[in-house]
Amino acid sequence: MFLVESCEERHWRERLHSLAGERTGPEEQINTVFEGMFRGTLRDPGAALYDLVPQEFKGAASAELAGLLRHPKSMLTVLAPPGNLTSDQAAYHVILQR
Amino acid sequence: MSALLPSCRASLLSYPLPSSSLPLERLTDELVVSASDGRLLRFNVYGGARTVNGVPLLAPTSGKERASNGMLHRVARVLHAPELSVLGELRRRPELSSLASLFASSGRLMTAVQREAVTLLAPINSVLQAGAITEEQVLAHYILQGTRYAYSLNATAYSASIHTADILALNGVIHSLSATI
Repeated sequence: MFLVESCEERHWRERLHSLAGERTGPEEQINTVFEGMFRGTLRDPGAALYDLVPQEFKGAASAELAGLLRHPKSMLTVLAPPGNLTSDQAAYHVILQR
Repeated sequence: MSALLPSCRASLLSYPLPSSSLPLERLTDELVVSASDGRLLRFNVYGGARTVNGVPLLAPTSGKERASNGMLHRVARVLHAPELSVLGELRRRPELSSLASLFASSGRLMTAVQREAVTLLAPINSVLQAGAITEEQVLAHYILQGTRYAYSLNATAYSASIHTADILALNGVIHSLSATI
């Protein structure tokens, strides 16, 4: 808990408010933020997958897939290989979840 | 935040991950999921290592895997999708036609390779022409429970005999062999 209390209140309040406009429910918003804080695995709770995937992957993704990677209400798992790939291959490397 | 925290404090730490994300720990052995194009991906866990379609998942690099709308896992190389079942792959490969003939004459062999998550070690034709193997031998030594991609067979008794590794199938994998076991 000390991690939470040591964070600047205003920064995290703004983060929660920002997510509140994008995500589906308050539990998920809070969870997203705090998972990152406690586990240290979330560099930026607001970062979309599109910002994290390699440049080659972005280049191969179809417009539809790129839209999903950017969309705040998507929930995806991306399996990113090194190097170039085709549009069809990029689609095979993405798992959609509800 | 200060008003929010006391009321949420007890539950925040016990929240599970969102059910819609797939962090590494949820990629369990023999998990089969559909990719966005409908084709199947198979995850396996060998010791502490994970593979997808036999391709290793690379170790996470801190802070670059989790996003607000999902997870990113890096894999060692581009993934290829299986197209046919183990039996279908066996039938369509000319170099395995002798073994396919043996299967065609044996209901027990056919049944054994139609299970989910199976590995077939398949001697190529020249091996079987040099010395036949029996149905019992195939059942005992050439059909393995579970999907054992080449990644998991390194430094095993099988690895030296593999002719073509990781022939992907919808219900498992085939490795063709250049020698009997």
